[in-house]
Amino acid sequence: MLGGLARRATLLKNLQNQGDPCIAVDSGDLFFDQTTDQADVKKVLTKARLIAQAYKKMGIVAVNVGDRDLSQGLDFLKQEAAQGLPLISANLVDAVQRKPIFPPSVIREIAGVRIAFVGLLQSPRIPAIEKSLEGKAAVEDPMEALQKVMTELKGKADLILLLSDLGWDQDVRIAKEVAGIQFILGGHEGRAVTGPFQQGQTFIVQSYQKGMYAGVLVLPLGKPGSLFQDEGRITRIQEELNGLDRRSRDLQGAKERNPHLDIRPAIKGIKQQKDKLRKELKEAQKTVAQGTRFRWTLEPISSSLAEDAEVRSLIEATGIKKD
Amino acid sequence: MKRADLLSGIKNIAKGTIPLFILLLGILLPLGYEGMAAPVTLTIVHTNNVNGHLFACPS
Repeated sequence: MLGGLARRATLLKNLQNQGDPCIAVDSGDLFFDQTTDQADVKKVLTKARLIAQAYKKMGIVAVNVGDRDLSQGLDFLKQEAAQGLPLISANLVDAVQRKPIFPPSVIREIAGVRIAFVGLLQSPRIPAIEKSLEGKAAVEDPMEALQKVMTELKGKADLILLLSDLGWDQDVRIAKEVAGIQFILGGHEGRAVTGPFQQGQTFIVQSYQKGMYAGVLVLPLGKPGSLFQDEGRITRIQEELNGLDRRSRDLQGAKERNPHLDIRPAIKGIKQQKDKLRKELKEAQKTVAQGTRFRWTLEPISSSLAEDAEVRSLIEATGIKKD
Repeated sequence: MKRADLLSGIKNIAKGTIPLFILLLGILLPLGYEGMAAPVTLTIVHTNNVNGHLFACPS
């Protein structure tokens, strides 16, 4: 079993207690799952309000609106924003005025470095979600909205991180076509991304789903302007090489037990893969040494983390005992 | 000027300069170390697709 809001709060507190600045962000689809039966609406909204309350207590810096967050209409989100939840979205606009309903971005200055978080969502494709907007809101083209925000952020931010509920393919497209975004903290499908995907100078990650893991991105802020390099890349290539070595030894063992076994094609394939990986390793060692090294890990929210007492009591007060 | 006078002059300058040098080192060195200290590291904790889950799920 993995996950739980109270344990997630503990992970954040533990990291915050280590001394260096530590903040939390969410890329969307935080509050609701797909569509909800009318009978469940009360429970679903109670849970959503509780999550918003806990995230505010945890000092969340930005929450991007995801398409599923719209499934109970705009009123819930507007109420939470009015009560201090930092909801952002660059392309969720008022249907009449065509202006963003929530701030398109939020900027935090940490150790003299201005960090901007921009939010984007995909147009809802589930009819029930579209219906819940009651024609009051529209989702604009994410690329156009992003270009607009990037222009607005010129000279105002040293680092730009996109909180995206667009999905992996769109995130890769953005990384290809829009310069100046260092990280895309994505979502929508809820993939488990253990190694950041690099497209140009942008790194794309996701942190799985249902709150079972939290992504932890550790960024040195000492050299603004220098390119980021993934510290874990070398380790991952090394692990792949080790895996191929193990496979090779297993094949040799099988050959000893069964001399008629032809392992040559498999061994040849492994050798080719190893040659390719060794080249990648050499390249990685060169580039990683040159830039600012960041670290990305997916931390499991396991039972070894104690439950945060404050969040635990908030949950208990609702009387909800299971999801 | 005699050689002894010259040496004595140098000694006198050194007497004043060395303590001044030590004083300046004392003032500037901590700043120097601070400048060389490890850069501030920011940790960003990220979630997506929590989908309203309050409790743990089977992994």
